[in-house]
Amino acid sequence: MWTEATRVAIIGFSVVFITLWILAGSVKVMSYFCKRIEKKGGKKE
Amino acid sequence: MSLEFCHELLSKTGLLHLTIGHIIMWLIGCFFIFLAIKKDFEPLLLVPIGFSIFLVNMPIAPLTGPGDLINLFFKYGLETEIIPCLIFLGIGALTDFGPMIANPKTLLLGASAQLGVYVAFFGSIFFGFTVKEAASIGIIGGADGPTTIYLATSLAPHIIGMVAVAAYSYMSMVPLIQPPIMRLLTTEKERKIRMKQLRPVSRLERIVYPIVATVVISLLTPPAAPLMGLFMIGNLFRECRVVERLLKTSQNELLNLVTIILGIAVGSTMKAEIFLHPQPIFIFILGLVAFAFSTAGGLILAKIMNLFLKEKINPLIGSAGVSAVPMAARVSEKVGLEADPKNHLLMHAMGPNVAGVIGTAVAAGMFLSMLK
Repeated sequence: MWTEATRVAIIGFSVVFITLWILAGSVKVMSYFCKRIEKKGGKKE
Repeated sequence: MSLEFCHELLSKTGLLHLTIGHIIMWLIGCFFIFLAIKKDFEPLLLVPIGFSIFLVNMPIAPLTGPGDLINLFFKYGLETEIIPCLIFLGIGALTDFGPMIANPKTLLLGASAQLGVYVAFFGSIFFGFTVKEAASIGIIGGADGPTTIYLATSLAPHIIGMVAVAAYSYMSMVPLIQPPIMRLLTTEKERKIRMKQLRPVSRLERIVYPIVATVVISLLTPPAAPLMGLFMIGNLFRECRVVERLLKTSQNELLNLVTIILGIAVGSTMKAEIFLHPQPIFIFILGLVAFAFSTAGGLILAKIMNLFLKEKINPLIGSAGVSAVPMAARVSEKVGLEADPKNHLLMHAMGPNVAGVIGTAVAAGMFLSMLK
């Protein structure tokens, strides 16, 4: 039981960190592109 | 003849079936109602939960048997996992992701504040719970009621009432539990750190965010997709500003309706024959341990991040990584103001706070994918 629990905890906690870390990176990229799109839109106007 | 008649008459009432266990549960139900009304502890949930505990412990009342009213609430609302997901839709419609989009590194604080989930998970196994029960108890540390119910429904439905009540009780006690831990783990100098004002977040970013988040989370943790998907739909309703009616319904009528059914369904699991064992005491102790470690996890990671960051972050915002929104962020603000009356941390703390909701859903999703 302890072996299974350790496996579940290690994988689980790692995935939580990796998911949120990738999400943080995705938000940065998203913000970059959004700003570029808005800049282009502003220039056209 | 008349004695037999009286006995038969009495046996049709609940009086002959009343036990001391039922009376203890009535008192527990009344205690929850008291906490909600007098102490303002999560009244929206503790009032229906408390009354439901009271109601389902009425002997021989046709409430929780197959096809009975409250059994139907439980069967179609919780067992199908519809209600926790609908609650997430409402919460999404109320959530402002702006502070998190402006400062995405706060997402990591939401991840580290899941530490308590895993500490309580091991603690539960130590106390003799099964792995599935331990996961349902550990998730209390995420301080997210709907996620706790969502996970417990799938993995350990027999303890759902206890874990739900423990989660909501501790969520309402965040202002009592967190400050001592925050003061213990931070120095006066750290509590005085001032953070740069957050940049404004454009409407486009706010609209695109729910789509990006759904893609990332659903691809990396598919079992979290039902919760996160509805969370993000609700948020899109809020940010797109073209579905005002849907937004208002999600924020008010829908959320209120499912909260009533959730409270009644959760309370109905707390029957005397299930609840009056040592198990709930352990669950409450482990829930407290989970909360304490989650708070500490967020604070410690913030301190570690400060070793590498040019612009320091106030570690007090780390404790807001437990999901209790917005109470945990308000606690960060309050403890920060005690150290420096001009240092407002509320908006900074909202980032890790909403990140905590995502972190808990991902943690629950991982438990589901590995244990279901």
